[in-house]
Amino acid sequence: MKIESRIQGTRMVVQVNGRLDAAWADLLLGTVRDLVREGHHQVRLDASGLEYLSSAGIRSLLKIRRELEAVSGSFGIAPAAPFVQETLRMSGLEALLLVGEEMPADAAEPAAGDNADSGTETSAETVAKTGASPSAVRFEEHILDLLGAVTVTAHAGWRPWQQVLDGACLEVPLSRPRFGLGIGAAGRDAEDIRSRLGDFVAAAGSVAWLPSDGADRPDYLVQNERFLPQLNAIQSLVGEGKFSHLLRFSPAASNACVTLSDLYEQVLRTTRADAAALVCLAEVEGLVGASLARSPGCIQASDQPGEFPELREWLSFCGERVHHQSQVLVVAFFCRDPSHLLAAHLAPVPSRPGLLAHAHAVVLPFRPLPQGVLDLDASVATVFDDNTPLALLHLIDDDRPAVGLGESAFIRGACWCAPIHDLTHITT
Amino acid sequence: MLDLRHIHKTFFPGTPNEVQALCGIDLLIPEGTFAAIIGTNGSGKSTLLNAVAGAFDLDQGAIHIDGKNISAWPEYRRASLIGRVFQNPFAGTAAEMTLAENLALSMRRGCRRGLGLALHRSARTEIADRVRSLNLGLENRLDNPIGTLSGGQRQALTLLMATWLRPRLLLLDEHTAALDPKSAAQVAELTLTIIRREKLTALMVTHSMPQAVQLPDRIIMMHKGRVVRQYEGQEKSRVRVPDLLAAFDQVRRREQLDPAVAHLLHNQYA
Ligand SMILES: Nc1ncnc2c1ncn2[C@@H]1O[C@H](COP(=O)(O)OP(=O)(O)OP(=O)(O)O)[C@@H](O)[C@H]1O
Ligand SMILES: [Mg+2]
Repeated sequence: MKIESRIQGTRMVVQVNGRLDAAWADLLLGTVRDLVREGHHQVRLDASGLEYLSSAGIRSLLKIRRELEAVSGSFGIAPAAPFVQETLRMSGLEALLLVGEEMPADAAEPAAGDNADSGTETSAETVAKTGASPSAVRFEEHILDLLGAVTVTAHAGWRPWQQVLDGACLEVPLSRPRFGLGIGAAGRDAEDIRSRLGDFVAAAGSVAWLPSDGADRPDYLVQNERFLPQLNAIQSLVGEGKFSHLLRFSPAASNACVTLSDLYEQVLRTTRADAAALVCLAEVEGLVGASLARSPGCIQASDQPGEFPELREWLSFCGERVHHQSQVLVVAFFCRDPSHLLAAHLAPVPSRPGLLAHAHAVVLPFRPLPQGVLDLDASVATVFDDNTPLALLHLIDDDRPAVGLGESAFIRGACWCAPIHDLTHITT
Repeated sequence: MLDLRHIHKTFFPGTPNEVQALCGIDLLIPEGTFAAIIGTNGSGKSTLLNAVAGAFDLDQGAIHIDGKNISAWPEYRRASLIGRVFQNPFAGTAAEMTLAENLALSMRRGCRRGLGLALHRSARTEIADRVRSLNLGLENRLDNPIGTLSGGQRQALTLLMATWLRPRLLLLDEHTAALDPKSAAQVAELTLTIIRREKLTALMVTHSMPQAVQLPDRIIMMHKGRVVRQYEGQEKSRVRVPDLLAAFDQVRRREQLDPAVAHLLHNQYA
């Protein structure tokens, strides 16, 4: 079999010649998935040169169709060799997979994503424009709510690397529309979770944390009608309110990507704020970060967890740029004013002097996102649906000369953001 | 029961070639437990098995089998308690001798004298029965030289020989690694069958993560002469290959956390 792809107006045409059987079905699926990753959501299969179509081949076509529908894209076979039409008709899939005569693709076919914004903020006024684009990344700015802003509740029951005292723990509700990050775990009470406390991240009713009792995978909770997720936490930053903007970004040149601090700067510019918060779903270029390897709850008076080499027992560092092409959900709080009350909960970003931030990220297998304006709740739900978190990191800016891993960066994604208008400190 | 206390072994100490092969191994393998040892190349897995078998003197530490301190026993004396199978199918058997002769030898394991190979009728019947239990059809080839068998068949026989007298401890060092996948799976299954049937205490070194997940009761992960992680009980029954790979990854990452990274993390992990 031979697979070739070409752009035709707004569509991506994949031409297959030869036999589409079990041996080739995966290759075709992989090829189309790569195209979807690159942002081609209107895909047509030119099957005029197809000589054979097995049921394995048909199954891969149905899979492609399903995956494209999930991102509000479209898929169909056109044109098809007569025997392909016949095969599909006999298996009752004609209507699903064959598209009839279409308008030439470059005539105004609705752009991808136009039908994706139904159900999102109805009050949203959508303005798209090309913003300043750091490192050849295209930013598309959508206003969701001109008055959108978030209130942050901060709780620091624990300061690294002291012992965790009685009463340091707080029950933190993390149901929609809250989002946040910190150190905690799910469990009955403070004692129950003492040995499992780990980094967490939460948004849109999904909560993931990395239990530090030797687990290699994050654990997670997802909100449903009767279940409202919450964690017991010794540190937390939780935002609540309405997002003012949605930034969509994608590479304008090959290999272009957006770093986390690019994103901070872009959000601060867009929201015209000194302090802001973001929730971002993106395809990963590379992540740099650390996570707790042992629970702070286990720190004894004689321990010095903050010092090398003892730090190795307590923190695990990624060691290289990780999770290329995976999906990530990032929650971050950041400001450029060291005297801001929030600054006490943030750390300097060494490669952007003046900027302070705190960001956690949970990594999942890649799921393509529809284009245009997206609803945060629905998007996060899609990403977590039938998908298991792979890793969870406290993101680090590694500016070590020569050997530094740099910052976390993303290829494309959606970033919901808002200025921070209010801050409450909870003391326990 | 195998009890290892604080085992240390350094090869070529004080020379540029110095290798700290075992750095304080503490392990307790209860009676009837089947444990797999996994680890990167050179992590000390074979050295650990060799230490137990008595291939060299320890620098420090003690080895107990069933409560007996055998640290000072010479290798041949330990052989009365320990059965071994190596990676090389040709290591455990004598190629020119027949199957029956090889097996007769193993029946006398641990005895230093009297290697007479004349087989009594009853012994021959027992040998045939046990060989038949392998289900490899080898009972008809008892008088053929063992060198005519395939690698998998030889490993199966070596396993039979090593467990003939129900050793107090069975040591397996990558004993399926040199076999083709199908033979490896057969020998692995046979290993499990014999260990369970005879309720043996066993230590198996393997590079095969699926094997480590499927066969034993316990997984011992080694790195640079240390035991870095163990999986037993419920945790063992839940563990899957990707978890083991992730755990290796974690060990590897830990080494990259040098003072400069520590400084970075100290500042940014607020
Ligand atoms: N008899 C010996 N003399 C000198 N050095 C040795 C000896 N045996 C082992 N070593 C060294 O000790 C270290 C551990 O080796 P060992 O064979 O135990 O590793 P291993 O975990 O079994 O590795 P592999 O997976 O490659 O079999 C290695 O650096 C090896 O070179
Ligand atoms: Mg070895």
